[in-house]
Amino acid sequence: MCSSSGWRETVVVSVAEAEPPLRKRLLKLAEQAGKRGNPSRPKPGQATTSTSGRIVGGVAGLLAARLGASPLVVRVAFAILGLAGGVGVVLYLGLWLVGPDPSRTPRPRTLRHDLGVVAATASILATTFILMPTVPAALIGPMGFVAFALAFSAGPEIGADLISGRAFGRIVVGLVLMFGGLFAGVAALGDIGQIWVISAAIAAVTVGGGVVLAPWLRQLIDGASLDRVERIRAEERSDIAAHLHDSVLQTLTLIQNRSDESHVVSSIAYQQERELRRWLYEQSGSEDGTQSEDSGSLRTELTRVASAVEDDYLVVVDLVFVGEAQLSLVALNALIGAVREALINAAKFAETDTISLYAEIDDERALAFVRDRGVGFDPDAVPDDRRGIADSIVDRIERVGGTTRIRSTPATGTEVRMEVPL
Amino acid sequence: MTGDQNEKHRWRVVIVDDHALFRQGIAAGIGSRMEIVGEADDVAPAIELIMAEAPDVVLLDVHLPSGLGGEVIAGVAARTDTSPSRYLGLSVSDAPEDVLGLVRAGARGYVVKRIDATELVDAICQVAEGNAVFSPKLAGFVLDAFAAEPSASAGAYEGESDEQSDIDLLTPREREVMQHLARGYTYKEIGLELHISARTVETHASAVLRKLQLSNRHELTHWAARHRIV
Repeated sequence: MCSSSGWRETVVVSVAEAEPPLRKRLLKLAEQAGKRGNPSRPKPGQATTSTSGRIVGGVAGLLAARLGASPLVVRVAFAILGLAGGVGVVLYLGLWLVGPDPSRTPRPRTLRHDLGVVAATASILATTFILMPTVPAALIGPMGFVAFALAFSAGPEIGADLISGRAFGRIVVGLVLMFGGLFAGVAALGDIGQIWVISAAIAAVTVGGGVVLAPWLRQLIDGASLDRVERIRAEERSDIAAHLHDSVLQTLTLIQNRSDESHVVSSIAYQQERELRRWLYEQSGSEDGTQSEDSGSLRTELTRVASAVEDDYLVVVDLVFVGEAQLSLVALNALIGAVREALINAAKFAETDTISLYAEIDDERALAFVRDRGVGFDPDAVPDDRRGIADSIVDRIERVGGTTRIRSTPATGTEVRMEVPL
Repeated sequence: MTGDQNEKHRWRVVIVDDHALFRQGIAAGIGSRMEIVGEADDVAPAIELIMAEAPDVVLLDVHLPSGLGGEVIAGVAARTDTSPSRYLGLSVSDAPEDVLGLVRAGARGYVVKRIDATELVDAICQVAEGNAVFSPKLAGFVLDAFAAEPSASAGAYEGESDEQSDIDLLTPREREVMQHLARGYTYKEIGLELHISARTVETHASAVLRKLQLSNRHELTHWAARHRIV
């Protein structure tokens, strides 16, 4: 026999051993938090703007990638559509506004970008004249200003730029150009009474303001959702920390204080191990919905009863379950009740800390064995006034047409066999 | 009887586990009955140690820092065909998902880490003598995964030899042995119960272990997939 207290200390290590699965669980939690709280992460089938190789908003590049076409072809198509009634521009702006921006790193200004701005300006200008052919020639200049301002101000990184202070000048210039163009237009026209000019002006300001502010607003929203992910992660972390503090750390302290009482230490450690496992794995099980699915089944109920007895009597119940079939509620309750009584008897009287519980179910019957290697007793010698076993186990099983067999010897402990028909 | 050999034979044992405290605990617990010839804390040093010492039994943690315990068995097998070492898995839990991979890799069974020293010594002796060590949980899993007798689906395997389907089935006797193991019986107790020798019980258990290692039963793969192990 080597059951020295030194050996029992290894129980503590087995709690510490739970670390790798814990780490896995933490990673999983972090992953879930990321999924839940990050709506801007691109999902399949959702429009996003392309980060690499883009000229203005990255829309054409992305669309090309999605269609499997050359970005150049798509850009030309946009340009043609833009000239033909402005459809292209509206489409482009629409896609660009709708598509979330996957990149949060500001893109460097390049010649390509500047050319893109010029092209967009021309496109907006052309669109305006096609939509409103009666616009006096005097408005071409001011409209050009407004269009250039729109194209110039528009940029997916505007929010990030603004936050960093870099693009402040650009936005001011854009706004000045826009309002300058507007006032120039009104002045050039001379006649303020013309409703449609004012309408056009208001529309220009609105659209311009929207275009200036939209990316920035979107950036703010994206930033907010990033903050939310961070917050969820932090909450998960503090949740885990709080749980570990309330349970594992407390237990470790308890173990340190009572390290000379090996039986108590092993009980506490085992109880903590089981609780930690339940917290780590059953939580995820219920998230998947697998836990509620078979509630009320023999397996679930036995697990519950075994855990309850373990907690109440500081013993280990070694549960093994085999088979899959549904037991009637009456038979289930009878069997569960009898098993609980058998476990409690073993825990109270057998003077052992381990009980085996084996259950098997098939299409005809459910079988349960409760076995301990404890002190055992002589079933015939139990006085009649001790009706515990007879009432709580045998009668319960017989009432649903089952059978009970109790074998016990002082040398080998006790085994209770319970069988109920389905 | 194996019980007598337990007393006399000091098997040479290597402990592979990444927790020094745990290795110390084991060494303290079994040191008087076994000869601890070395300890290793990871896959690569474990392979070197086993190659150098050729222990009778390797106590092998399921999870090591740089991989699974099964990689140690595979690593030694890749270096030599004639390693005399046998492997006994050590697992924190007796959830079979932790252990099936190790058993499939060649371990002769496993024990949970909270096993007491006497039981561990018994398990080491079983493994050293070439027998299988079934925990109740592993026996329960085997009963769940293997059919008792040829079922309709088993008969539907086309063109498979009898030998093949034998691997996927338990004989009635093997099933009885597994049921008793799942109920917490020792080999000796099962022998008394079934009126056969403990030696015969060990033979049945070894046969079941071989089936567990060789079978391609879809329950095994299905189960492994469900629990995300290969």
